[in-house]
Amino acid sequence: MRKALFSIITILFCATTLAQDFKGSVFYRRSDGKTEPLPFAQVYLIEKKKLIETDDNGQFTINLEKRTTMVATYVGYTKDTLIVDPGIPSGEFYLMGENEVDEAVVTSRQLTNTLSRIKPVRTEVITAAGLCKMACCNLAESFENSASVTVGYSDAITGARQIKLLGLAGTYTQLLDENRPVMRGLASPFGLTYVPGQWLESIQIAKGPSSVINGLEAITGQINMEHRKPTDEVPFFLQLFGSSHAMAEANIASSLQLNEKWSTVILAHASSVLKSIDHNDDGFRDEPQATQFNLSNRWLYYDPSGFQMRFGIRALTDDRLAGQMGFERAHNSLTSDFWGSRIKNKGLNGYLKLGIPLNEENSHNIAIVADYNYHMLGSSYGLKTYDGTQKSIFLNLIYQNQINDNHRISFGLSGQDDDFREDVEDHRTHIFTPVPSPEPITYKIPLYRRERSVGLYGEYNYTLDDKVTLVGSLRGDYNNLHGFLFAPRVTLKYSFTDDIIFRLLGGRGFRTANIFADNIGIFSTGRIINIEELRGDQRNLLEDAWTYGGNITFYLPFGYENNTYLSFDYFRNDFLKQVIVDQELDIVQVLLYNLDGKSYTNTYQVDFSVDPIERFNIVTTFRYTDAKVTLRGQGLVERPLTSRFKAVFNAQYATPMSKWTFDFTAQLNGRTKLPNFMAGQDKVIEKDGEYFSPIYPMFFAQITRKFRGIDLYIGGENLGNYRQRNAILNADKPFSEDFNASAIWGPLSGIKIYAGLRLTIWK
Amino acid sequence: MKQFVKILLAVAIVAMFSFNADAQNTKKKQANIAEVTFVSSIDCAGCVKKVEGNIPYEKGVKDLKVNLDDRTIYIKYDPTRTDKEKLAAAIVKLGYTAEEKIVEEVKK
Repeated sequence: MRKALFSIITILFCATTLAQDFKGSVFYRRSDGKTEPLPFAQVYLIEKKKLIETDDNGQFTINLEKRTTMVATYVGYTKDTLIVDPGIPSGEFYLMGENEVDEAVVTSRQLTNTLSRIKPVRTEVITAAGLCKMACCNLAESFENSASVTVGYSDAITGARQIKLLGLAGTYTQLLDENRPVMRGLASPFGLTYVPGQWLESIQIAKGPSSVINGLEAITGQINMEHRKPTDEVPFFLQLFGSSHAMAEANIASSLQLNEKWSTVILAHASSVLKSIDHNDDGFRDEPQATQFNLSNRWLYYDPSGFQMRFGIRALTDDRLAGQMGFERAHNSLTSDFWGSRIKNKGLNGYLKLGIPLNEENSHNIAIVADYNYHMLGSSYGLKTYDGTQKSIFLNLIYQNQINDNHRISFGLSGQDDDFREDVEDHRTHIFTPVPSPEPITYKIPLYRRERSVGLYGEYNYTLDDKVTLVGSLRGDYNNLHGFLFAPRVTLKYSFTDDIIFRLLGGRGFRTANIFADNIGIFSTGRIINIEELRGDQRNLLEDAWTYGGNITFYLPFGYENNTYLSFDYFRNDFLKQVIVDQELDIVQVLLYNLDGKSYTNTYQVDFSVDPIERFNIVTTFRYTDAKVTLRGQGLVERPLTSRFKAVFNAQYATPMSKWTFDFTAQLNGRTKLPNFMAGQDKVIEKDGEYFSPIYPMFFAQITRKFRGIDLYIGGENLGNYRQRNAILNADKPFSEDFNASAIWGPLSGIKIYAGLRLTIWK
Repeated sequence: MKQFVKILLAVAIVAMFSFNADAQNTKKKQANIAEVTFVSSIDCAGCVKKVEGNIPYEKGVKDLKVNLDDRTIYIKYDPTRTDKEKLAAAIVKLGYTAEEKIVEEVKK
């Protein structure tokens, strides 16, 4: 509705709420500025869902009992909206001829990956339509169309996926489920595969540290997931999916409205890899044979007074069998002749959210969020075992006051209590290199961490029309391990015009490293895990970073529906404290130590989106990352295993009403610095004594056909069949120190063809 | 794997042809096209999805645009196969109101 005459007049009148007559007049404003009454114009009363018409004189009279939003419309004219409180005697609407203003026509197709115009933080939104562009078995796979987020594997054994935002590991990104922190600690290494894509309605990716309301852990950004809603009028949804990699998946969602106030959604997921596949004949499974069950039930109670309560539970269990083909479920990896891995995850989550309005307009309100999470991980990787439990409680109390159209303040108090019990054992009996050890060595690393923090925060939001939004926030936490932690954050959004939007933001973030869960790949190596430098003082686990950056987005007046935009991003991240995982200092150990020197990332990104014709959308993105870290013995070097650039081209064409949809995505992945032990491996490039992965492309395609209530789709991933061959180093000597499956720069599995169906039964 | 690529290509080609056939049929019937815009009580993203998931499959519907901001539902249809009343009834059946927007131009 750009450039449309769309005046919203909010008249606050709180003293009296007695029902009174309101007389409205609708006028046509001619291009010469003169006005005349518009008879038989339509006025839609939003709250009452009622449509009325003006009389011969362009007037109407209604009885108002409460605040009402009225939209006056007339075909061929712009619309005008008034929000009127009871007690206001009259109001006027002015409409203009559509030809007289550059009015955008109605929105047709649902946009997929878009940049939010409204949000002060640079926010990329992947909508349900975007999620359907690819198979999207789980959250990790939902980002293939995005250059902002890079998805990779933690190692070539476990199937654990990790994302990178602004060139840094996903552990520095705060993941939120409808604005509740999730996937923390032990739940993080496999967490991305525990969010079925079909459960989601949309994903928002916000770069940079934004809100302090959910704690200090958002360093590179926040990714928020919105699930299917209890209020969706879909009592039954079923998705079935199968792929050429012997993966079968089923999802069920059922949204039920029990009455005016209560509604619920039940989400269920089951998936299994039915067969082990070893395409590259290295004797190891390409992907783990995993079986996952996941169940969630979410409730909403909504009272017309504005009070709302949301609560829900989720339970999941996942069992993975990985490693050499000869290793079976009945085997014990510690005694088997085969190198095997077995990973069991069990998780339970419960939450309660309350929204309590303190006045009729809901401009004062209190929100309460309580969350409990239990996660158990039991795993073995050859001769190593890693077991742990996590119990976490999160509480948040938020007071929000929208003082007027310009000022909003929020205050809050939140607390986090984490109880981690972890145990790592390495049952190796002898060392192969450099000289065989006469003594058997078995070492154990028990870790216990009880971390409690209480934080006070405040956020001030200033809005001047649609021109300026300024958000300043401060948060101070007292943490039992690290003492006082203090973080300021600032966000500014400025619209030079309706079509040029500029954003700036900066802030500080903290997190406590979960050294094993963050680096699950180190178990799939023959190396000794050495954390001696970090032990003894849990303050060594603190990570502290500043991130700042900006974005400028130009909305351009060409392409169908003027949906074209061009956006530039720059973000800089500086670590003051960081836990470093180093496999290059010593050839038989993985060393974990604290950063001593600089660690930073500069990320540049350009996004361009255009609809050349109706229902044809093209999005291209290019990201360049310059990431450096100080490694012991090497100094400041390029951060290993971080791709220098990623380019994404996505084209989507849909026939009218999206009965057919064709999607094609091409990626070009830039070179990645590799650890020195990767020298001489397939496709590895040496340059000035450093080792790099090659630049490689990836192609994805999907065709969707929609019928009433049924969507059928077929597609392919990695259509160029590009692979990092021999991703497992020394696969023939799995019990040696040289065995290493943790240096992953490319796709592990080749071409994958899949097909699925989505069945929707509407209420 | 090559077989899979072949199968995928075959499916893509068949799909493209059947889509082209659709497009040609549409061209032939271009003369028989009417339009209507309804003002409706749709007030949520879920409502839009519900309309988009059902109305395209009503008899004679050729195109559909749902606008939540304006609360309008625009339908292009074949008047020999359906009419405004039937389309309005189909929207009402989904649980929303459907009042036709007046088409007469009032430019003075």
